[in-house]
Amino acid sequence: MIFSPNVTWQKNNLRAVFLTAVVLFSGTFPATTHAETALPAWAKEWLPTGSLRNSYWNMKHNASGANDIGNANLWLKITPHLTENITLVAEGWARASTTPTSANISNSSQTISRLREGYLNTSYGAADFRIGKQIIVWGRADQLNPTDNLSPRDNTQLFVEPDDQRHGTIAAKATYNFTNAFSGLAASAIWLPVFRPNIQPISPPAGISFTEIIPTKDQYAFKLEQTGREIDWSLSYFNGYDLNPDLGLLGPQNLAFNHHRIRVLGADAATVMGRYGVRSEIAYTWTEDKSGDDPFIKNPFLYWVTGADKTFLEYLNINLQYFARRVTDFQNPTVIANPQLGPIAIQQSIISSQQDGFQQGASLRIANKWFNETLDAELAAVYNFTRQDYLLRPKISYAFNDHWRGNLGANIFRGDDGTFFGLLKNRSAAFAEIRYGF
Amino acid sequence: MKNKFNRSKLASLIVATSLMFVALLQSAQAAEPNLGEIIKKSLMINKVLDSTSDATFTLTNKSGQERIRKTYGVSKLQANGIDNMRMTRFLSPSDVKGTVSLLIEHSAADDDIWIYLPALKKVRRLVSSNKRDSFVGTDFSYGDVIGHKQEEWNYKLLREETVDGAICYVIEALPNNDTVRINSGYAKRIIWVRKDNAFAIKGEMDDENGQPYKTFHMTELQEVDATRGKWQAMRLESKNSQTGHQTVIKFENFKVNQKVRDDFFTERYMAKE
Repeated sequence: MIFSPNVTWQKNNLRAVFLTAVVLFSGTFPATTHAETALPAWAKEWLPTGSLRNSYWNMKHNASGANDIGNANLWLKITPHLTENITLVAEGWARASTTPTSANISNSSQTISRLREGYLNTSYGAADFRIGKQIIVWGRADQLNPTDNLSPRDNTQLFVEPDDQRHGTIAAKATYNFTNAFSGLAASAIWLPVFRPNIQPISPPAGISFTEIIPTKDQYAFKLEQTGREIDWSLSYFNGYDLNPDLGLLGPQNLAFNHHRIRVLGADAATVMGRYGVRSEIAYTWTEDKSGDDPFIKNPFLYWVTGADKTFLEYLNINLQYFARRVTDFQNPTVIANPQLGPIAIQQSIISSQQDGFQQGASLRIANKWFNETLDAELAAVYNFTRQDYLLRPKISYAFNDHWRGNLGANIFRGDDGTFFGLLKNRSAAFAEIRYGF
Repeated sequence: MKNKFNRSKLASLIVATSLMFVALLQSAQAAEPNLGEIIKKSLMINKVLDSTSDATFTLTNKSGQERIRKTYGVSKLQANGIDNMRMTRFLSPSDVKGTVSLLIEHSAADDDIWIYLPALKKVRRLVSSNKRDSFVGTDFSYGDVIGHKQEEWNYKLLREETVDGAICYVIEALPNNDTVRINSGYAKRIIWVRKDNAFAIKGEMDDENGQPYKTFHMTELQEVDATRGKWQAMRLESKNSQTGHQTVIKFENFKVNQKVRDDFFTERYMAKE
């Protein structure tokens, strides 16, 4: 669809234009530069860094029905030292959009803001403590991380970098760093009193409503990790709730998004073999469906990713990974005869990647840089051998100078309707973004 | 008696003359510089026990457009006295702020490299860069920063020349073999090594095909550790004559022997924002 301005678009776009104008023309950036020299050291600590990002997205079919979407985003981050030993880290963003991009069961606003992280960091000897809203990322594999189950994503938000969709969860984390002969070894314990799920870009069909059920019990996780030696590795355990929902039926016209308890035992490792970087990550997830016969709860499963990357010439990096999922006590959802429950069970199996007892695929990332690292290009792909659905993510990025950067790219989902990426076909989009960093 | 005296005197004269000749010969040989030793000393001249510094990287393209990166760096010499551990934390601009790289050098093997990217919020292990690869987008290669191994190159003294007021040996370095040529990216290096302290203050490099490639110029030398005879250039400049791109690295607050803790060279430090 070719972008065609119209009255409605122009009206809605005023929000985005306004936010851009406020930031650009209020003199914030020059003021910051001048202020930096005049401010005392403690005040400089509180000066935010961030970026203003204006983007245009052309989607085949957004959840709200719009094809052309303009976004203005302001990202801010501060990392002041409150005392010699306590640091505050806070990061958030505000967005004005020409159309509701997050049309899902919980949010359909055109303006949205979010505190991604806000936590205190402190250390006492070999122990580190981090308390507050924080993003905890686990896993050494590239992008596909079976052990990464702690922090949610908002998949409804259109961001150029997929990792920007992450947001924090309230947690208290304590880490003990071993010394001397065990240098590089660290043991972490994490307590998560509040559960926040992934936010999915799913709109209810006409006449159907969704109800998301948020569990309230505590979650906890442990990790033993080694870095700095020949092999970096970790062993981890998570006892909490599934970030991705299981579908359930609350009533004839009311579907439930349930987040059931899971326990995940994981491990990962990374090392260098000659000119190859080798990474592997594996996790076994126990679910509440111990016998595998409840179609509305994921079956226990093993998820494994392994691969290698190599850099050719100076910057051309190729990263290839194989992944596999084995579902324990798999039962084919298509055999459910109940006309009301059968379709839901099938949808449940698709969004859970549990349509088959064994699924395998590959991911590929090709990246290169030119002109002293000012021009970057990348093609990321994930292909499911079992169902032949795939994701393609090409992106090109150019730094005009230290402040201005332009991004062009696309998210392309393809596959049959009954496949994971096929389900996301309508979320395929091309984007252009101009970004000012300060 | 007189004849005996004369014979004895003559013998002494001959011995003395011979000794003087040998001494003169040795003196003449000592005047010929031992290039291998000079290069070895040159490679060690800036290897301080440890250091902390602020650095500003100014990268300028051929049309004069500048990009500026500010970093905080910590280095520490490993127990073998040759290899360094280097941590570099990027302070600005905003799109790289918080990025931390950790390089553990191994002269007998590939180096270990980790990088912390704040956007990903995790430390990634990277494959050791080729020595010819650009060091963080600058016109210096990893080989230029870490140092080219003395034993992999053949050296020839071309002349002596005064640069920045200091008398220098002008030394031509040619790779021992094609592997060294390809891995370093250089078919020839000409380096100006100061006679007084063995610091290489200037360089001209040909690319692997023998075409003029890069020039280096190190200025604002400071003796940062007089006890151990260690020197550091506070301004490093490199120009790529093929692309017209140039890099200037300026060090500030360069301090040595700070009893730098090993903590700096850990994932724990890298991931602290």
